Amino acid sequence: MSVLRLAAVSGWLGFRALFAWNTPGLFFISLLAVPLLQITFFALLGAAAGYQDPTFFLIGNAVLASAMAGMVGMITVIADERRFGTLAHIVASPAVRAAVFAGRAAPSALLGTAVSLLCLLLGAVVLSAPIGWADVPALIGLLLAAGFACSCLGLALSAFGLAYREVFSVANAVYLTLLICTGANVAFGDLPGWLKAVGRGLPLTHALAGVRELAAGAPVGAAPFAFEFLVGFAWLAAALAMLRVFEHMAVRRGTTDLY
Amino acid sequence: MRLFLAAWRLQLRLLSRSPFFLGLTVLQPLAFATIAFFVFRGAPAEQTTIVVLGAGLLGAWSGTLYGAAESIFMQRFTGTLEPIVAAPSSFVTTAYGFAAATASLGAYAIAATWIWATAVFGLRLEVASPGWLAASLLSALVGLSVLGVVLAALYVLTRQAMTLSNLLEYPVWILAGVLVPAAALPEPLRVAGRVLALSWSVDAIERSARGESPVVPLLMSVLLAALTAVGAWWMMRRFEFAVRVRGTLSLR
Repeated sequence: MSVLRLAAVSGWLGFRALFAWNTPGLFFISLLAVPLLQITFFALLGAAAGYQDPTFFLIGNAVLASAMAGMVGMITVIADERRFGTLAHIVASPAVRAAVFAGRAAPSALLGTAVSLLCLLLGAVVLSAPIGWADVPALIGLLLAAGFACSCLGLALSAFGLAYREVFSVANAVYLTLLICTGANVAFGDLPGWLKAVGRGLPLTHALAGVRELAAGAPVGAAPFAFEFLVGFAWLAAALAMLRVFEHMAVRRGTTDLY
Repeated sequence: MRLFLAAWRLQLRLLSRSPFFLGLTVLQPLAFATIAFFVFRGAPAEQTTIVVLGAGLLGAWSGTLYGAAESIFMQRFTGTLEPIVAAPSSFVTTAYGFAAATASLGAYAIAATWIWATAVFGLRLEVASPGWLAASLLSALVGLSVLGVVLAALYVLTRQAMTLSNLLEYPVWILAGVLVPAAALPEPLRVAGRVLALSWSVDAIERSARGESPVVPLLMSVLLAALTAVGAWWMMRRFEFAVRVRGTLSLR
């Protein structure tokens, strides 16, 4: 119970302290504007090449938005702790580090899910996409699963931040992999086998498939939810192990306060 | 000139050792090129060449955008922005050197995308006028450099450099037609893109690849880059004065 409380307090404090609250207007604009611009860019690209329809890119990139907010947000939180000089204090404290860092993941996951949902609903209005109100609960469930899985991946990547200063380069590479391998901008069936295999082990792929089924009017079974959560829990387990390993490495090398 | 070269060399060495920037200027165009290869699958060699060069320019813009932000952000963060501004040498020249360095990294992006397309995807790329293409690419990098100084001026004025960078990445990709052909854009966007030197350079690059004369777009690109350079110089002087008066230069 105390671990859960620690995670909740850590998430709340981290969210208040580190999420650009000194300029909330710009923060929210960038949170929404970037995914909307990304949707526009890929929809125009698809239209120029005669590949898929705008709804395909709307769904792909709206769901991908949860990766941006969830995964990158998660990494930013840990990287900012290092930049502001508070990471060493967290590592030195007797608190369970996994709970402190996992607590940081919750606001990112919720923000990511909210951004995806807003983009989908805005896009559905503009493009008359076939997502009805009856589909919204399933949609929220799939987006929550995607947000959870992405934040877990973010938590795993942020573990690099304990020992490695250039964690954003790792995050950038992983985000680009998500852009290609999850079926967000290239139909999953069009990808070569090895890229499909990579995609199946990444967050978003299964949730995205579920959202596409929903948009196609097909009933969504439990599989997309289950697989997305499974991927999320696998990344969470990896994250907890990586936090231990990299924390040990950082303490041994004395690199937690380098930036 | 010596100051410009010193700033260019310093920034180029700093960025060339940054995994984040190398990732941004090399990995990002490769990822977008990969998506474009799937999306434009079966397109003629001429179109593929334009897509490859477009993906390279896409990375070059990202490098310029984040490089301009990072150069000011890091100077501010490490407390060296004030001495640079207070020094008797021109801060504008230093900013031009920094911006030229980030645009120079754009050459990495273009080269990496070209190698990726030919070596990994086995694509056959065709350029009808290589000489004109080189001139057009150079004009694109010069156009990006001056745009980098405009950004640097904004970043001197505001502390929200990174957030602004996030917001500006896609609009310029779209308006300049770097990967999405300008012809595919709605008319208002196409017209808006014409104020960017980069959009004319992209036009010149496409014409060079097709074997058409790129002289007019190339001249327009150079003209707009020159106008932007003058505007950037004016902005930098004004903003530098404003932050000195307000005493906000070192705030972060």
